[in-house]
Amino acid sequence: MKTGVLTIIKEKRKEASKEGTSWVLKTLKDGEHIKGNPPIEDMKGEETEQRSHETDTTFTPAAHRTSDGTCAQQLRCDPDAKLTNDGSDQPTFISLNTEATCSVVAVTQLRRTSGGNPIYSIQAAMDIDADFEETSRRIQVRFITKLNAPFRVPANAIAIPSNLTRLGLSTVVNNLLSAGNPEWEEEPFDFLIDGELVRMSLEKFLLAKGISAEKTLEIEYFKAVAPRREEEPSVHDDWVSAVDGSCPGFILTGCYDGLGRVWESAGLCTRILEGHSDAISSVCIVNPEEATNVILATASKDRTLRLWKYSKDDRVSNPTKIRPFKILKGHKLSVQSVASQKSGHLICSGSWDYTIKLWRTDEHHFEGDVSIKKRKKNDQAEESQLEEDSVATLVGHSQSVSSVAWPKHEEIYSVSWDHSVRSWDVETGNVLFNHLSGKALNCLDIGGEGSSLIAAGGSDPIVRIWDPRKPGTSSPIFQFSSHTSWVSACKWHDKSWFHLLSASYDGKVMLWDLRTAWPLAVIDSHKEKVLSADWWKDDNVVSGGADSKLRISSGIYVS
Amino acid sequence: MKLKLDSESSQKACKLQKKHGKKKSHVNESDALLEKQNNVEQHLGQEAPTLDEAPLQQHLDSAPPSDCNEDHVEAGDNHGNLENDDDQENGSDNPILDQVDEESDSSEDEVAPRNTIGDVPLEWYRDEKHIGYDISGKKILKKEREDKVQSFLASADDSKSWRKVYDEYNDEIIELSKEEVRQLRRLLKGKAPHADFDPYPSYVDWFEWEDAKHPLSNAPEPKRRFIRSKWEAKKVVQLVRAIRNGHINFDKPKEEQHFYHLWDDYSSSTEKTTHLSYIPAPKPKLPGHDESYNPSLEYIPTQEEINSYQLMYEEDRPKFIPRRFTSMRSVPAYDNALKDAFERCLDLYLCPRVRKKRINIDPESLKPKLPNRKDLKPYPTTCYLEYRGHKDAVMSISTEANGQWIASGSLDGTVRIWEVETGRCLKVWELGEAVKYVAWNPRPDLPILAAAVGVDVLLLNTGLGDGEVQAKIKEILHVGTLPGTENSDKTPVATWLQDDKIEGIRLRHFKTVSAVEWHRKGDYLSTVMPADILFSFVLKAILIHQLSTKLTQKIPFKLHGIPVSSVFHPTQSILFVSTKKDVRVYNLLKQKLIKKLKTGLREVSSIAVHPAGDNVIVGSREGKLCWFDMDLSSQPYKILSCHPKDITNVAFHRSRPLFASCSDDGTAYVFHGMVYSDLTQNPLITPLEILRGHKNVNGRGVMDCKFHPMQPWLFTAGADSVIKLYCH
Repeated sequence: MKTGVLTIIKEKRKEASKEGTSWVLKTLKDGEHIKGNPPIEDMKGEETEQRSHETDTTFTPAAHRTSDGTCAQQLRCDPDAKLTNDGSDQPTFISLNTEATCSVVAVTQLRRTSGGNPIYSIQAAMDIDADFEETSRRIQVRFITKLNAPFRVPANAIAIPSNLTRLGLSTVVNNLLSAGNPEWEEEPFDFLIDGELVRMSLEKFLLAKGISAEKTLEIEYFKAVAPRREEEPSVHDDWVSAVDGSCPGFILTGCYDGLGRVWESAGLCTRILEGHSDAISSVCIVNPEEATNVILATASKDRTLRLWKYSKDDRVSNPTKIRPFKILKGHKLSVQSVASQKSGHLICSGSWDYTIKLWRTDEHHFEGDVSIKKRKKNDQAEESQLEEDSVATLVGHSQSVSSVAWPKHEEIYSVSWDHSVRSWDVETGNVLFNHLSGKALNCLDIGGEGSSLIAAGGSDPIVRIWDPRKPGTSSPIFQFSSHTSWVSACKWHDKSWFHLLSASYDGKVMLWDLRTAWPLAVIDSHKEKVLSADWWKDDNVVSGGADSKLRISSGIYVS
Repeated sequence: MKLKLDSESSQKACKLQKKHGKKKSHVNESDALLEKQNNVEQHLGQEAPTLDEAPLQQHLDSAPPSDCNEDHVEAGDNHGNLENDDDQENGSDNPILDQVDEESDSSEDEVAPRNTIGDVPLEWYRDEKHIGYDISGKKILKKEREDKVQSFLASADDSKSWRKVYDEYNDEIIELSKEEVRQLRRLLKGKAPHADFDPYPSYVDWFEWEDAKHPLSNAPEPKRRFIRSKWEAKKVVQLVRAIRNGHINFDKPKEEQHFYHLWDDYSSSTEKTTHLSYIPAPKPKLPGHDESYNPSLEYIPTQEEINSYQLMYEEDRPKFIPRRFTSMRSVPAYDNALKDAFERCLDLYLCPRVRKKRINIDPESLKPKLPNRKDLKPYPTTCYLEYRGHKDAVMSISTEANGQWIASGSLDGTVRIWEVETGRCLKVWELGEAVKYVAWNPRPDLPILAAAVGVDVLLLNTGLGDGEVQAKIKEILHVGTLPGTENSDKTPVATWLQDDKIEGIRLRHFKTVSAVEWHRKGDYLSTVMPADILFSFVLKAILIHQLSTKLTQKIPFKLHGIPVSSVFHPTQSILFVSTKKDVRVYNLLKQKLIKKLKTGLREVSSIAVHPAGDNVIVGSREGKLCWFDMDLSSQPYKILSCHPKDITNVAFHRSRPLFASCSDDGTAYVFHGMVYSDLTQNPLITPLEILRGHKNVNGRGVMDCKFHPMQPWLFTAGADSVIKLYCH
C-alpha cells in the first residue's frame, strides 16, 4: 500500500460555491516535500466525495467515509474536532485526536494566503489504499533533540512509515513543530540514530545497523548542517590562495597578487596588507583573541613571511594599506604554510626547502639576530621594519612541507609531499609521530574528538582522518571520498567534534560529519579550483579559489 | 545335556547318523528303544530320554507330524518355529553353529555330570528316594513328581513346553535350544547334525605317487624330495635381489593391446609418420531430398528464384535444380553425369591435399608471467590537474629539479612556467616563434630554462630563487664581447648573444634546433640540429655549449645518419647520440665510441637514459619502444610495441622504477621498469597503465611526457594545448 500524507485542504472554492468551503483530500507521496513544490497526487474518488460536503466545516469520520473504507477509519477524529471558520483573521486549529496507537500522525498546518483566506491542511500519514496493505511497516519512534524550546516536539512516541527517508522525517518533524507553532518556518533537520546519521530509508537503516524495529526508536534531530545563504562574493584581483576565519571579527585572505586582505564582512575590505613581492600562499591570524592589536602573519612564495599589526579600535571604511612590521627571512624556497601558536608568541612555517621554521612574533628585538631597517616611504613618516631570522628549524621532511598546524602549545603537526604526517616536539625538535599516508599531502588540520584527530588531504580526492592516539595503526579511521580532484583544504569545526569541511580543486567545498560517509552539504559556488576554505564565526564557511573570489556561505548551524 | 557337536569328531557324527537313520521309523515308539541307543544317548545327551516324556511325545505326535516321516518338513509344516529353524539351517548356519560350539565346549569344561552313578540302568534307583550321588558322595534326591494332569495343563499353557525334556539321569527338565532342536531334526532325517558337514568329500589320495602302479624300486621316497633344493634357494635369492634393486617391477602398467581401426580412413589420426601418408579424398556429397525424383514442394524453386539464378555468378549458381516427376520412369538422363564424373576424377587426381596440424595451447599460458599491477604501486593513474593556457600544441615540457615548477614550450610561441601544485601559470615569455624544446637546468640552485626556438637556443632566467641565486644567474647569463671576437677567425658554429628583451642569452645556430639537453652539472648543454646527412657529416649537427665560459664545441665524432637527440649520461661523461637508425654512445673524455646500439627500428624519435645509466629506452616512429640493457648486448633487450602511432617521447622516472612513453595516438603508457643492481638479473618490465585524456589535434596526440622528479606523477603535454598531470 502507499503510505502517504493525506492532506485535507480546506479552502474556499470560488467556483463551486460562494461562501462554502470544500474539502480536498490529497495525498502526498512519501518523501516529497510539502512545502517546496508539492507534487500532489489527487485521489479522485475521495476528492469528488469530499466536495459534496462543501458547507460542512466539521470534520467527522462520517464525512470522511469514502470509497476507501480504511481511510476513514484510520483517521479517527474527535467529534469536537472542528474547524472554526469564524471569518476572523485569527488562525484556528483543527484539534485532531489520533488513536492511542498513533497510527495517524495528524498535524494541522495553517498557512495564510494573501487573500486572507485561511488554508487549513491536515496532514496525516496514514494508510490510504487497502489493496496495497502493509508493504511498508510502521515504526514507533520518539523524536528527541538537544535544541531549545521552539524546536522541541512532544516527547510521546508516534508511528511513522518505515520507508521514510531523511526528507520524510524532516517533514514529519516540521509538521509536528508547525502544529504547535503557527509561525513555524520550515527547517531542514538531520537525524541521528545510535550515533549515526540517517542517510537512507529508515527501514534500510535499521536493517543495516541491526536495530530492532520492535521497540520505540529514539531519533535525535538537529538542524541540518547546510548553508542557508550565499553572501555576495568578495572579489580579489587574483586567485585567493589562503583564507583564515579564526577571528570572528574579520576574515583574512591571501591573494596571488601578493596582497593580503582583511574583510569585515562580505564585500567589505578594510585593510590591505602590502609588502610581499610574490603570491601569498598562506595566512594566519596570530592572536585572534586579543582585543587591541591584531597581529597577522602571511607566508609567501617570495620566501619570506611577514607579520602585520593593526589596532582593532580604529575603524575604517575605506581599505587602508598596512606595511608589515616584521619580515621573516630564512627560507630558501617558497613558504607554503604558516600556523601560529595558541598564545601567539611563535609562529611556524613550512616551506619548499623541506624545513619547518619557528619565528617570534613579538616586536622586541634582540641583539645579534635582529637588524633594523629604516625605510623612507614617499617622504612620509619613517616606518620601521624588522628583519628577523628563525628561532629554530625543524628538519626531517624529505620534500616540500605543504602544511603545518600548531594545535597544542608544544606540538607542531606537519604534512609534506614526501607522504608523511609528522608531529614535532617544539622544545626538543624531535619527531613524536611519523606516519606515511601514501599520497602527497597538501592540507592538514587538527581537531575533532579531544582535538587530536588529524585530517589531511592531498594529491587525491580523499580526505583522510587519522587518530594518532591509536598505537600501531597506520590506516586512517575515516576516509571521505566524494571529491573528484585534489583536496586543497580541510578544516575541523571549532566547536563540534564531528564536523569538518574540505575544499577541492573540483570547485566544491564539502561539509562532513564523522557520523556518516556522505557529505552533509556541497557548496558549489566556485567556478574554479577552491584553494582554501575555513569556518568563520562557527556558522559560516569562507572559501577562496581560482575564480578570485572569496565566498561566504552562511547560516550553517553546527550544534 | 549339551550335545557333542564338535566338528572334529566327524566320524562319530557319521556313525551317529547311520544309527539314527536306522532308527528313525521307530522314534516315537517308546522307551524300549532307548536302551539300545546307548551311544547315541551318550552323545545326544538327553535326546533319548526326552522321547519317552509325554509332553514332548505328544507334541511330536501332534504338532509336527512330519517328525515321523521322512518327507516331513516340506509337507505342510505349520509350526513357525520349525520352519524358521529349517530356513536358518539352509541360510545362515555357520554363525549359530559356532555359537553352539562355543557353548558346548565351555559347558563341558565347567559342568561335570552331577550324578556320579555312572552308566547304570536307572531302573536300579526306581524305588529309591534318591537318584544317585553327586561328586561329594551325597545323595541326589528325587524331585517331587508333578501330577500328569498338572504337567499337561502346564504344558498347554506353556508354548515352549514341547521343547522341554525331562532328564531322568539328573532328574530335571531341560529346555532345548533352537539349535539343539534343529540338530535333532537333522538326526531324525538321517543327516549329519552339522549342516556344514560334507558327507561326500572329494577324495584326496594322500598316498599316491608317480609310479605307484609300477614302481621301479620299492625304495621309499628319498629325502631330497622333501628338502628345498639349493638351486631353487639361489634362484629365490636372485629374484629377491632383483626385486629389491628394482630390476623386477610389479607395478608395471598393463600394456593395452593395440587394436587398429580397420575401416578408419586415418585422416584424423594425429600419429606422426615419417613417410608420405595417405590422405583420403574428400567424399562426394550424398544425394538429399532435393535430388529425389519427386521432392516435396518446398524444395522446388519458384520461377523467380530460377530467374535470380541467372544473375548469379556461375560458381555460385546451384548445380542442380530440383524438379518433380510423376514417376521414376519419366526422369530424364542427367546431363552433367559425364562432366561431374570427370570433375570428380580431376578432383581426386589433381587436388592437392594437405594435412593441417593443429596445436592445442591455452592462450593464457603464452602470456608471460608478470607481477600484479597492484604490487607495483604507486604509479600515475588518474588525471586530477590540468594546466591550461597555451593556444597551440604544447611541444615540450620540463620539470624543475624540486618539482615545484614545470616549464612548457608551445607552438604558439610561448614558454610558460606553471606551479605544479595549483596549476597556476607563473610566467609567460612571448618568443614569437614556435618553441620546439624546453629544458630546465638540472641544478636546483640554478633555475635557468633553455628553450629551442627556431635556430636559437634561449637561456631564460626564470626569476625564481632568492637574491643570491638571482645575482649568480645574472652573472652567468651575461655574455661579454670577448668570446665572440676570439672565435671570429674560425667560422663560429654558434654565436652567443645577449638578449635584453628576455634577459637571457640567445645562442644562434645554423639550422633549426630540435632538442636541448643539459648535462647533470648544469654547465654544459647539448643541442641537436637535425639537418640533412651531408650537414651531419660535417660534424656540426650536435653542439655542446658550456655556459660558464660561453664556448661552443662540436662533437668530434662522425655521425652516420641524421641525429635525433643527444642525452648525457646521468653519472659519467658519456654522451648518447641517437640517429634515426641507431644509438651511439661516446665517451667524451676519451673521445671515442664506446658502443653502438642497433635498434632495428625504422626511425628513432626519442631516447631516455635510466638514472643508473646502464639502460636506455628508445622510442620509434613506428610505435615501438626498445629497452636496451647496455651490459647485455647491443641488441634490444625488449621491444614493446604498444602504440599504434608514432612514439613522440619516452621518459624515465628519476628515482622510482617507472618509465613512460607517449604517442600520437593520444595516449601515454606507463611501465614498471625495475633495474636490479645484481648484474645477473635482467630488468623487469611490466606495463602498468594506459593514460588517456588528450584529444588528437591534426593527427598529433601527446607530444611530450615527463615524470615529476619526486612523486610518481607524470606530466603529459598534448597537441590539444593542455598539459595534464597524472597522479597515483
